[in-house]
Formats: sequence, structure tokens, C-alpha cells
Amino acid sequence: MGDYGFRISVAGQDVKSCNDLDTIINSKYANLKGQTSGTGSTTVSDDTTNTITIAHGLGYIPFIQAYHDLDGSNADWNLMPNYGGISVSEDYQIWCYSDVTNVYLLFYYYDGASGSYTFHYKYYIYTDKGKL
Amino acid sequence: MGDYGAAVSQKGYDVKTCADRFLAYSSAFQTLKVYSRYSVSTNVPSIGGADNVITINHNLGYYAPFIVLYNDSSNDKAYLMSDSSGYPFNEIVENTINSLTINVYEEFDGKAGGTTIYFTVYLFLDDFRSVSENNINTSTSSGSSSNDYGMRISKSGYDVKTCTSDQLVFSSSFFNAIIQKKGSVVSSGLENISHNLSYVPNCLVYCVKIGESFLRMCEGMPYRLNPFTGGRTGFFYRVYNNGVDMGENYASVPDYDWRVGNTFYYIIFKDKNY
Repeated sequence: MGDYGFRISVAGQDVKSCNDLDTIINSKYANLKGQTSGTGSTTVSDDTTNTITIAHGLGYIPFIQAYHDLDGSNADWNLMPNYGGISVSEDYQIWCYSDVTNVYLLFYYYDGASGSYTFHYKYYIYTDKGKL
Repeated sequence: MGDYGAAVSQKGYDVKTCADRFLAYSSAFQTLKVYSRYSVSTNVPSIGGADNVITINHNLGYYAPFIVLYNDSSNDKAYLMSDSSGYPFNEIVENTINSLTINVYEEFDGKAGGTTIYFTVYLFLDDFRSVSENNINTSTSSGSSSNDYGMRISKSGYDVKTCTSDQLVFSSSFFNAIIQKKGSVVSSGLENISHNLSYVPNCLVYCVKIGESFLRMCEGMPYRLNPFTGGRTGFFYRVYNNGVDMGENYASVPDYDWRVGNTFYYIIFKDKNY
């Protein structure tokens, strides 16, 4: 079978003979394709899990990524999943998943004192599949 | 010097004037390319049993980035690098230069011995040779419209006019993983890599621990790091609007320290939305 296709090399490399590693785009290998992304925040009460549900409309289970902040500054972002303590008495657990209908971002918070905590989040939904 | 090359903008953006982050493709920037995708499964070991090891031999011959999604025993969900309760499983995924392994231990995800669980693995073609940050147009004005003119390329064997989005190699209808900067650094403590984007981008960070020969994916940085006061140790990163912090913290009396001598590998992307 012929090797029909499309490839563009990095500057300084011969597109006809260079290694695949030296191509910018190459029809032998798919790019990750981002469908949509978004941001938001959620305030979680003590010993509660808040679930953010985002409909993706793809009809299959997509590959997703999500980040969150932990200090309310909205300045430094950490990849989900993540868990641990905020203070000696405060714990959190944050994770995400997708199914054929929605993306779910889950935020658990515990301080044992009826407090609450606000998390900011950011997510990416790709057209690439999270289950083949 | 002239700026020879080609560029394709995302739908609705003028390719001649839009900011870098609204490009779907540009010969000025590299993109992350999927080498292969794998659907794999194994049984959870019985209590007291040895790990069940899933091995994917890719024979790339270099450290390549990867992502693992857990599809649970029902095979109908996709958790990014965590079990269904949200606990990261980065420590059980090891990628050497020629093979990737997932070491499934007893009671993984609280499952009974013998339960079949499923994973989806993305292995990328790219290596971690240095690509310096490159900003051509950092404008924040988009000039977006609803027009969907553009370019699409299908995977081998699929009709480019009718195939689904997942069957495309490339499409200007979507934002692509355009690389702002990539490379590696040997840690002398908590490392900071600048990206000069002025916004918080998406990125992937991996680590080869000193004395080891496999790549592991780093986790998001936890709030508390001191293991003597309830913090966590491990391989972490966090992203700012001017850079990425990465490091391995470990218990070091009286609190903790950042490991010296590990090699961190990073890929920082341009980001359409921030």
C-alpha cells in the first residue's frame, strides 16, 4: 500500500526524508484535538462533595483534563486528581471523570467545624476518546 | 529574515492576524502527536497476590510522554490518572524508553480479587528535546466569528468528508496541543520553568528519579507538603501565569526538602482559553 499522506517538517529538516520526530504535523499521527474548555468555581460545605456536571454532547467517552486552585488566589493551578490537607484539621479530595454524556468534576471538603471552602477549576474536553 | 511557512487558524479567526493561541497549526510551533492508543485490561490480584502487570512494548527508544485513563470495571467512564475515588495512581505507571507498564496491586480501587478493570493509554510520539518558548503574536483580541472554514485531515482509512472528529488527524475546527516550550531539567531543588505566556497554560510534567530508568507522570501539587504535619510527599507540579514549578518533596527532619538530581521533563502548551 502506498504511503499517501501529509507531513510538514520542522525548519531545517527535509520533509521527504526526515524522522517522524522532526515533523510538526504528520498524517500518520493524530494531534490531540480540543473540543472545548471552561472555568468556574464551587464552594463546598463541610463533609460534602460538590459535583460539577458538564454536558459534552460527543456521544462517546472523551479524554479530559482539569486543573484547580487550592488557596483561592486563582493564580496557581494543580492537575486533578489531588488530595491532602489544607490545615491540620482541613482535608480535600478533588478528581474528575467523563462518561458518554457528561464530564464530572468532584470536590470534597472536610473541616469538622461546619465551614466551607471555595475551589476554582478549569477543564479541557478533547474530541479524542477516553475509552477506545 | 522572512517568516516563511504555513499556518492554519481555528474556526472563526483570521489566520493573518490572530494570536498564537488561536492557531490550529503553525510551522513555527510543534504539536503533540499521538504515537498510539491502547485499550488494555487485567484482573485485580487477590489479597496477598503479586501485582498484575500490564506491559505495552512500544520500542520507541527514548522517553516519551504518556497519559493513562482508568475505565473502571464497568468500562464506561474515563478517570484521568486516578481511581474512582480520586486517588492518583501515578506511582503504578512506569514508562521506560521501550515499554510502559501498569502495576495493578491487590484491592486496587477497592475491587475484589479477580475483578477485571480497564485502562486506555495514550502514548505520544514526541520526545523531550528542547524547544524554546516562541511568541509571535500574544494579542488577546480574537476577532472571532462563527465561520467554520478551514482544513481537516483524516486518519488512514477514513473518509475526510464524513468521518467523526475522533477519526481526524487534524482539524482547524478544534484547538490543538500547540507546544509553547518543552525540554528537561535536572533538579537542584524545586525547579521553576518560565513560559512567558502571561496566562496559566496546560502542561504535562514527568520525572525520572535519580537512580531509576523510567518516566513517571507528576501529580498536581498538594496544598500541604510537610509530611510531619499531615502533608504529602511525591512528584508534583503546579502552573502559574509565568512558569511551572516542579519537584519531588521528601521527608527530611525537621520538615521536608526538595530532591536534588531528579530529571524533570515538561511540555507546556499554548492555550486557546485562559
